[in-house]
Amino acid sequence: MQEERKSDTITIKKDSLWKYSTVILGAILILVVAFAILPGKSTTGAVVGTQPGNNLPSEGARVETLDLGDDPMLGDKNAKVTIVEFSDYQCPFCRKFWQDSYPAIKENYIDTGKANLVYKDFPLSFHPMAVPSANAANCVQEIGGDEAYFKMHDKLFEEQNILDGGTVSSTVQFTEQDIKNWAKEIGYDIASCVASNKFDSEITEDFSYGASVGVEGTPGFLIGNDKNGYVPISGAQPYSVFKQVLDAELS
Amino acid sequence: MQLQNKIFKNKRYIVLSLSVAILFYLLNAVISDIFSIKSFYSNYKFLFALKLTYLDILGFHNRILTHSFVSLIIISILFGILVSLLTYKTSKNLSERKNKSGFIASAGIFLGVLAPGCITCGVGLASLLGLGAFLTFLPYEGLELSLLSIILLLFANYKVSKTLLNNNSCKIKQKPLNLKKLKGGK
Repeated sequence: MQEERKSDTITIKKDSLWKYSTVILGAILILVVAFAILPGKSTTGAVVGTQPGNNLPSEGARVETLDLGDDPMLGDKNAKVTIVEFSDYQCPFCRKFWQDSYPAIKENYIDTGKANLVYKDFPLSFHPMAVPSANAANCVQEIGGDEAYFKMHDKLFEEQNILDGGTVSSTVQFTEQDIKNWAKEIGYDIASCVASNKFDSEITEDFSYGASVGVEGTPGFLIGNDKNGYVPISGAQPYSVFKQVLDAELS
Repeated sequence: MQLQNKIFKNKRYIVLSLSVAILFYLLNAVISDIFSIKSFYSNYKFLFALKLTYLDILGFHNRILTHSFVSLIIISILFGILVSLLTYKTSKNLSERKNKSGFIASAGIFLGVLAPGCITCGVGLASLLGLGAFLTFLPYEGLELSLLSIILLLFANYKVSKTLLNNNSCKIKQKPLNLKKLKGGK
């Protein structure tokens, strides 16, 4: 009987179990590092992955031309360099860019006529207020033009900062009513426009276009012009990085 | 603490801890923005791209959320200390019958590399695996994993320290002597 019992059991020493587990964890880590070296996804901000497209640029390569469409533009349309920003209004990293780097970029490059900024919507699926916010901003643009658009753009980020305790620490939750109230505070009644969701298809097109040119997370930037192409940059980079890139593109 | 004071009296271990901590931090800084860094080297001359990379790493704390940055710093330091303790242990040729602390250390390091901060911040290898979106359902967007890593690393540091202090000897539980048994009686 005892011999039968022995053959039914498998004995694993505790030492061996710990060793094997450690080796397995180490192997997983090595695989992940190897994966990191391969062409992969953008990491700063949310990761969305690329959409299938015919003309995806190789990772990091310049995008030759961009279709700016009728997307809102801040600054001189004849400026030598264009900063195309793919952004999500509920993304905390987009808000971080707006808080930390955008003011200096606006002051030193946009207001001086050296560069302009084009805003394209890139709402992420797990930010439920991203599309309503984008809709609202487009509604304001319809009434008041590009200048009004950027007032609403600033208002959306500003109010989220207030809800976040004056800082950028997490994704902030807010409602459609909040958005309508914020629009009213800057002088625009967009209730009926927002209810119609008339800009949904345009927002979706912006997203698809961003994915087709290699944008994989927010905020995503393409900086340059049609003559020299556009350099892709990802994430809420410090102003010093934008300065270097903008100066290089301007020269 | 007394053991760590003893080990870190030797400057080599301080240098080792700091080096490992800094390397770990830099690894995360680079991983979190590998896309932009690749873009720099694809589009600009090497030296300029190097300058951009340097600025990118310097501005790393701007690109992630504050709690994520703090978590990364803590994990880097704990990782550095743990490596020094393990190196000391190896140098003293101390082997351990029970390897629980080895596994806990590994688990702590694994989680620390995987998610040293909130994954949607882009730090950690989990973000490279595309787990950022998957883990946004968590209230702190993956930061929970880094907290777990900190706890595991703290525990691993404690366990390894304890092993070193005990010099790998088993403590005898004090029991009253049974003289009858010693004399061969029942």
